[in-house]
Amino acid sequence: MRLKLFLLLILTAVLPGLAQTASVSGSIVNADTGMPVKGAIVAIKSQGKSVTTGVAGDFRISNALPGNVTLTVVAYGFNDATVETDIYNGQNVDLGPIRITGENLLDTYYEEQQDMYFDEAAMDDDEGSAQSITALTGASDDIYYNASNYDFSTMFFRYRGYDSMYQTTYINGIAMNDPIRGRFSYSTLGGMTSRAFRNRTNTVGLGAASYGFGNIGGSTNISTITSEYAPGFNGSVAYTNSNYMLRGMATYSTGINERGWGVTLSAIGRWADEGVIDGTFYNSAGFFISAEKVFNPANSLTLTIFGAPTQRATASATFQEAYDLADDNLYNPNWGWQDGKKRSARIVESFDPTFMLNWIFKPNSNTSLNTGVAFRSVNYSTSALNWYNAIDPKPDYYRNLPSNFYDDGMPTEESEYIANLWRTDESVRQINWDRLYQVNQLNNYENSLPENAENQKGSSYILENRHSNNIQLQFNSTLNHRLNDHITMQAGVGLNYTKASYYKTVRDLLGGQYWLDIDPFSDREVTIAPDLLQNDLDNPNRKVYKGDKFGYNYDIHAIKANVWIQNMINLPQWDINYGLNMAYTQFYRDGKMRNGRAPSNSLGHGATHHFDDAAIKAGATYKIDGRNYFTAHIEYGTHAPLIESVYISPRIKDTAVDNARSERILSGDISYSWNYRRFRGAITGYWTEFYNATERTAFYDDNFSSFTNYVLSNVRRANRGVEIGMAYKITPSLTASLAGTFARYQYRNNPKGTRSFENGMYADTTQTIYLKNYYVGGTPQTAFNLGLDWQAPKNWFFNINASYMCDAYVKLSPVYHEIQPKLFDKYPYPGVLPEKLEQVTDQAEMKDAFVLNASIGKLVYINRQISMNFNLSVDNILNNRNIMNNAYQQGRIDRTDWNLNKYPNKYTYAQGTKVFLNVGIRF
Amino acid sequence: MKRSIIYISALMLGATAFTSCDNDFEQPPLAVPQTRWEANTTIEQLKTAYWKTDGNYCDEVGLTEEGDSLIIKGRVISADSTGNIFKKFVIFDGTAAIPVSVNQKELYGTYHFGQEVYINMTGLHVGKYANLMQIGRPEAYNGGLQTSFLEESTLALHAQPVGWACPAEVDTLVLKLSDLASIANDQKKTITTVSRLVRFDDVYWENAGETFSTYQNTTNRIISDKAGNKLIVRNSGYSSFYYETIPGGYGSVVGILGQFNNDFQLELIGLSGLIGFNADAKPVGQSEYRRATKVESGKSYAFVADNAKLATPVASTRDFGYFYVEDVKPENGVFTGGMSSAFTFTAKGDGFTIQQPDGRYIYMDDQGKNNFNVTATLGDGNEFVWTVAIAADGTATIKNVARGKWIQYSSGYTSYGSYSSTQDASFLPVLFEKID
Repeated sequence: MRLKLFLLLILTAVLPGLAQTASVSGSIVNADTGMPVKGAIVAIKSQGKSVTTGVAGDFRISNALPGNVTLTVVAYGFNDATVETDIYNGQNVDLGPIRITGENLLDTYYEEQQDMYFDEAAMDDDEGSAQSITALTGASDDIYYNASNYDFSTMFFRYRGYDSMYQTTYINGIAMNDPIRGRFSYSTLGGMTSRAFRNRTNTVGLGAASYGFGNIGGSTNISTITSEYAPGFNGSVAYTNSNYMLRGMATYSTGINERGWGVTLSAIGRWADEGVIDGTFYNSAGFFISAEKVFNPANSLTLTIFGAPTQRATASATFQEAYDLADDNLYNPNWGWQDGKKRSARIVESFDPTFMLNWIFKPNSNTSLNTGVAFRSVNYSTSALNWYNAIDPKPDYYRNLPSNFYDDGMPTEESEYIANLWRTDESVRQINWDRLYQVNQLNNYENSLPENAENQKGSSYILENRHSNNIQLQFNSTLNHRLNDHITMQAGVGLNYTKASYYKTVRDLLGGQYWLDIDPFSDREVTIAPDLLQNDLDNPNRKVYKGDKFGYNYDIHAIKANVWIQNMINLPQWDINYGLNMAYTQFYRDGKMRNGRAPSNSLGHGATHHFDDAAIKAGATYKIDGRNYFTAHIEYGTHAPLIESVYISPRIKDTAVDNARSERILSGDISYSWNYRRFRGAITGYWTEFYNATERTAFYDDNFSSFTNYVLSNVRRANRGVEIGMAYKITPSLTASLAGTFARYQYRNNPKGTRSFENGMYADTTQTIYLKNYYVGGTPQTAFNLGLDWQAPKNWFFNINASYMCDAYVKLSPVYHEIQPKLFDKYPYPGVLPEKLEQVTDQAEMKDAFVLNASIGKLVYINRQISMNFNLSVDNILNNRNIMNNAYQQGRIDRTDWNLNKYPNKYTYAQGTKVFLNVGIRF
Repeated sequence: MKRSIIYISALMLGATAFTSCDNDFEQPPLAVPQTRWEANTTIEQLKTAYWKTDGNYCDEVGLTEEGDSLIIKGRVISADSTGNIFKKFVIFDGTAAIPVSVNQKELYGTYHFGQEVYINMTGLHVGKYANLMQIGRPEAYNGGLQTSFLEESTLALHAQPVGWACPAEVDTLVLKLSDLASIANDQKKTITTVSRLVRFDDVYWENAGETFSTYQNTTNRIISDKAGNKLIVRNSGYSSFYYETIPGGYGSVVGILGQFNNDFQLELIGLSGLIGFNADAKPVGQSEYRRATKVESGKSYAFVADNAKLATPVASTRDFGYFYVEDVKPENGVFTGGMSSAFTFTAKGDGFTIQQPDGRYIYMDDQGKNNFNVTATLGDGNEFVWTVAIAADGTATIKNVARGKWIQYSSGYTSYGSYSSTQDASFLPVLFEKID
């Protein structure tokens, strides 16, 4: 039997179906979301035949006796369903999609809260390393996975410690992760995740998916195929005290009419005049259209268009000293008063319209081919202050803080005076716009003097926009084919062409006359060749005005292609899957400016880089009995390095990391899961090793008056841990659940670091960075959640849960882990140096957090057509304002006095109590 | 269910096992500088080989006899942390010490006190400046060459600081001020002693009470021992301690022994080079003098006329003369003065003998002059005896028994003499008792 099975596997691609007697097939779908239900058991009890649905929810029972049969469908989390049908010898009866209803009303409740958990404000600081947000998910029957995405997100918990580039999000089978940065940007969905994008299938970790090869951290496929939307109208109005205050959303789906047409429309608006963080505002609107024409049962075409123009002001990480002086862990240094209004210097504007066309071809019940093309135009810009020959205008610039005036680490009269100003005078701790305008106006005045005719000055301060846009053209085709009762095959091919553009424009001259396009050296009197200062040697000393491009301007052209194939085998005691993915990545930089710091290496078509990658994955589940399972997964593959990590200083030059290679990943997990009527759960142990990875950080180093890029290559990391998730039904309506993880995410070697100065003052340097055994920072490594759900009568539901998260560490900056000859110069004594070195290289721990949340929901059926739902959830009931959700070491280090308090870490904190009140109507 | 429990526990144990081995954070290596160079010449050998006695010069150092680079090594025994020692550092290898003159500031941060430094002398120069041998760079001077500061970049190519800084390993040579004379005449002793870190015990500062130096000048201060041997201590007005007060009393002084043409001099690294002095003590050799109303045998007194003129004794090279004067400003009947103003009165016969600070007795011979005679040997005659009568206004009439002349200060001659009648514009001295 085994040998036969093995031979069968080898010939998977060409084997036809072997049905000879009566057979019945169909697919099991979630009545609420329309998503396939995998792992459901479909049985003809009278004949003792049962099969398990595959990843696409499909099933087929062959070799059955003809006649009238009753199929029973059992799936966890769903009410049992029965379907009666007649079956005939030599034929297959296709029942089509069989809808089963979820018994868990909490799915609805969780859905409504999607947006709260994805804090867009946490992204895109210029400094620090890439921020990570956890993967999008719908309700999953994986208890731990739910907790890790919902309950631990306050501290920006990362599933298995992975950066979000290791989780792929697909829409209709097309991978939507940004090809340059690797991660999926949630703002693309415009906040419509709970309605327009609610049809989601999740694959946890290394599991196999029907829509794509997936990723080691799991994947999600969002389906916007019109026919999958439950027809009707859904509207809701919500109030919250988060980045935004009000949200209104309306969705209408026609379902497919007799002529095969159907459309789903959705619109959303989110707004806040000022969010929970001072000086932040939020204006976002979104639209979504999904229109389908079903030509015949085998062919349908869906057009999806969506986009969400958004303008919002953000905060940024700052020093603990600033938070303490402002007495507010939500202190935001990025705004100031102007003309009686709060004006923010950090405004993010984004709009990513996406157009997608999918052709679904289902020639028979065994085969489904989804071919799609997509066109996306991503527009993203962040504003920031810039200055030339002037004092840094940021209120939390370290020289504006009292600690700058300490004498030998102790406060002085001067520092106390400034501390007092900080505490009492808001204009001291926020941006002083009036002063910036005054300085510029003074320049204008000086320009008007006749003796300065030859010696004109531009603005000393401006507000600039940093743009990173891209245009993507994508093609994807995914095949799902059932070979027989037990074996399905999935295969796909994908292609992505991206042209990304990076440049700066002048947003506001702040009253000045123009801006001089050269690299601004602050404070320092440096005599350097004037050519070095130029950003564009072909247009030296160019004066730029509002809207002009300046500073840097380059494109990255990238092509990504992949092809994958996979088999899934469902046997009574075993479920086995294995698959192979092959990928090709190619990219080059096209510089539009000849930069003075790299005159021969910046303008024009740069070197083309290409990477060939492959990955194999396999998994097996051994069903000990109907209730206990052992599962193991393994994946080994190579991934091309992130394009943004390959270039050392892409704004200036084409230079890439020496010997850029694909990273290799070896990941495995084993778990034991049990599933009894009242008690179910799973324990998983996992281990992932990364070899040859690349990481980059960027920061402004005023020791060298330059923006500095630091790329680590040949990084080796190990993420390993234990996950546990279990739920116990105390009564049929009261469930207690426990989920948690104990893990360690560590560096495993001393990688190579290349530091590059954008001002070209010094040559790039390469050195070993001693990171072995340090923790990967920014996520708690230990987290536990205990919760209680009560589905009360009359459609009430209550939830209370508490999370405790700890073992999170500060994200390290490589500069603290180089060999430090200057530390020796300051402490050349054997009794002193080792202790000092330990202080310098210490990795600080982030604060532990305890969060208590509760929510109430009520579903009201006004009549058979109309229902309303009310949700109120209060997160962080205890108003814990000390939840540190991001911490990173600055890239600057004091190599003169080795005062480690001179450039302290930067932090952001989560808000205190967060309230979400939602009222929805459905008919 | 039982089996499940076994499976669960097995998995959990296995899982916690492989997550619990944390290992320690790995730190970068300590960056203690090392070198591949090996010293093949001692500093004494280097100095001896390039020693010349006729003025300034600056010679290039070549290869060793075997044809290798000539490499010396020494421990840094000086520091420019206070700025008193400037643009140089001194190394000592157990045989001799030599300064390295280099145009670089804050040398102590690179060539640490107590750290060994290897220097590849081949291609560098060694020579003299004002008779002090040092490593430096040739500079044209007066038709010849003198040794001046090396460029920082040149030195960086030739010098390698190596290993930990071990201040405890720095050797301090204990010397006496009286040894200096013999060093000057002996070439070998000069080579092996000059530029070393030396310590002189039991010395006092002649300039106690003054500041170490004056703003932006370089000043000489003197240390002296009880025997009267002296040494110049040269202090920079740019140092961080130039304005501090030189303490009184006796103590030890540590510094780099240097030479400037024919004089030895000492350079302090900082105030840590003063050990045991008492800041509150009066400067050595200074005493308080208080207006006296009577004379007691065995005590010393100063003569002050017109509350301003202090008598100084007859010079040691002469055996007769008048007492010339120094200005003095007694306040409330008290002033501070040195030993050179103290005349000791000892009872003899009807009066007292008077001795100068150098011990010689004052008498008047029979030549009929108005000046004083001095002799080391006390005679028997009354010409050695003086009577003292102090009037109500404090002035003293000190009369020589043999000649009948008494001590007066003549403002016309601006000196003290002994006269038989009251001179015009003269003053009787007031006696001030020296309080020890």
